[in-house]
Amino acid sequence: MTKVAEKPRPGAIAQDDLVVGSSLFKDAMRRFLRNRLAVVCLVITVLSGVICMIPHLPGMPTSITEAHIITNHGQNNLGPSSEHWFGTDELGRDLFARVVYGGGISFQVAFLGTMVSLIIGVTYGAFAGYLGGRIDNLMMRFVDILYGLPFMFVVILIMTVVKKETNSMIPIFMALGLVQWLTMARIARGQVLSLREQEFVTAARTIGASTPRIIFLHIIPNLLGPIIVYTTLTIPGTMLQESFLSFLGLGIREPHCSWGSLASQGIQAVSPIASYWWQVLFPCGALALTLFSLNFVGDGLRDALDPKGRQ
Amino acid sequence: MTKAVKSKSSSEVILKVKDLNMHFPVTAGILFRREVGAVRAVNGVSFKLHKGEVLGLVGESGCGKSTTARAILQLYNPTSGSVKYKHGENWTELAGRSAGGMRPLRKNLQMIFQDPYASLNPRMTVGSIIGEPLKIYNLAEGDALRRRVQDLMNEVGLDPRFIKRYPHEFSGGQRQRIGIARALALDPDVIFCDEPVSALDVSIQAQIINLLTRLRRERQLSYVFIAHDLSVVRHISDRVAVMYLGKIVEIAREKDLYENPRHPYTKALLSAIPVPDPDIEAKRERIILTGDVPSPSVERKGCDFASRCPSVEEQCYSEIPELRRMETAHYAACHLYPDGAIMQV
Repeated sequence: MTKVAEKPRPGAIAQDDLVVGSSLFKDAMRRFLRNRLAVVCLVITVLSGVICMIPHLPGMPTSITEAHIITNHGQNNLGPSSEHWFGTDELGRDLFARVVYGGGISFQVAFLGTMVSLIIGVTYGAFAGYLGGRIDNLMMRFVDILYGLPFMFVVILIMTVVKKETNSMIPIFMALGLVQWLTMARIARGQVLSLREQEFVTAARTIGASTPRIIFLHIIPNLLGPIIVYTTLTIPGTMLQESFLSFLGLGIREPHCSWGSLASQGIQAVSPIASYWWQVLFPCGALALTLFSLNFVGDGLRDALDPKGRQ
Repeated sequence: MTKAVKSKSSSEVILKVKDLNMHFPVTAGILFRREVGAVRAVNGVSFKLHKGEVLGLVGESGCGKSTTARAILQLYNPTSGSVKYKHGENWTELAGRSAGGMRPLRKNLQMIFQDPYASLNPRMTVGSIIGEPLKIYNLAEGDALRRRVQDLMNEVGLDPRFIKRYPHEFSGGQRQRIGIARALALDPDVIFCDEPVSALDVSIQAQIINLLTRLRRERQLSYVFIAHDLSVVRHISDRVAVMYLGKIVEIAREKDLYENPRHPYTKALLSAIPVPDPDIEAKRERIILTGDVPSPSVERKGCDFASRCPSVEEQCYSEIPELRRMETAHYAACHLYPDGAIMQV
């Protein structure tokens, strides 16, 4: 940054002579990268996400995409070995393949469920906040009413109503997204309410900016920080809820599996005679490690995007 | 600070404000709001602004100075009143225009804001902040836009190489210069300066005032200069209007107002300016006002200042005083001076 010290020269300025500033986003990235724990957790998350998604990618050979449903006759309930890294379940299916496949389902549900809540929540909240007045009042009272409904009741209702016809994962995305957009809407609305009173929004109006221009250029970019943080903290929450629902038998059904349903099966296999510990430990361990990493990434992002909120 | 060289403003009027009212409704109720009253932030303001003139607008906090500016610029929808702007040869009414209807006129009427930290979008580079008005009106693009922005940066004393920097990388004074450059981008006739220096250090205040004075001379700008610092207003203004509780109580040429104030409120306000000589300061008699500013949400039959006025009379509680002529271009709204002609806009 030695260029800063030079005196300004009038006249033409070469492009490469410009002093490039660092945006708030770049600053945040730098702060995030300095947080070693968050970076390590980000690497773990990305790595486990990539590995878990391999069986779900299109164009993969069936030896990979269907490894989780191949039953090996006579090899049921085997402990971890060099052949079956995580052991096998009671039907002789390779647990490693099942954990990887189930992880892919858990990741998809978590990301898509969060995206559903992000899109509905931010749009709804930004709308309510920007319009203000009576419309805002009515929209947010509606959110309050939905908040008042017991979460499990709503989810079970959606799952049982929609699930009869389809066997896809769409009902569970919908169920989780529809419940989680409420908090997202409140956060977005709160941010918009304070942003639209900022002087730079008034300044944009005095230079003749249109309402869409104000929303997309002035309000949304300033909204992103808190929304990104809340989104990264919502993903593990959604993943945990999906696992919880699957554990109760409401979520993913056979032949599909997720970390929650694998843990549920593992628990059921536990008996006074024999505890097949690997059937509980590996799915739960994978879930715990991912949730832990996602939470630390979220915390790291929050610290990076809002340095004042630290300590 | 040297005394600003005041260019003689022409007698041509370019902005006429008449009986401007800005009442904010006070509502109650949870779902079905009903109006239970109104805050009369601006309550019948009238004045004229000449081409190339600086009109100072002073008054204590909350008297409606900023609201007046925002209501004139239609950033709020004024409750009633008329704002006429001389657009070329024709007078154009601004009050009641929609956002779209105001757009072509916003080019000519610009604003500089009080808080240099809040008035710049933290996610945009300086170049895009200053260039935004040019983009909105399709006045320049690409390289031409960059050159225009850098010329503007030069004009307000910013290093044009900083075009790609972000507002948080500048000091308060520099940020205020960015705000000024943005206001100048559309080459306006009138700039409303909403306390442009009150958030800055004294030494930086002088620089910004000098910059505004130079720009005014070079570009023949008119300013409506809002401030609560009387010395700053005296330094830059040709005429000064004193506001109290949403009304102009006295308006006069700077020299007349400061040397021969008529309204008791103006007298009290001026006596609060400290004199930088300890001997005179010690002997000086100050007019101390008792009580607080009354509520702007109560409608009064008489003079708003009556409850605090040292020379209050019976009449003051029953009759609203009008702005009357004291001498040339000097008007005051007080029952002590009942003889002059009522001000016409």
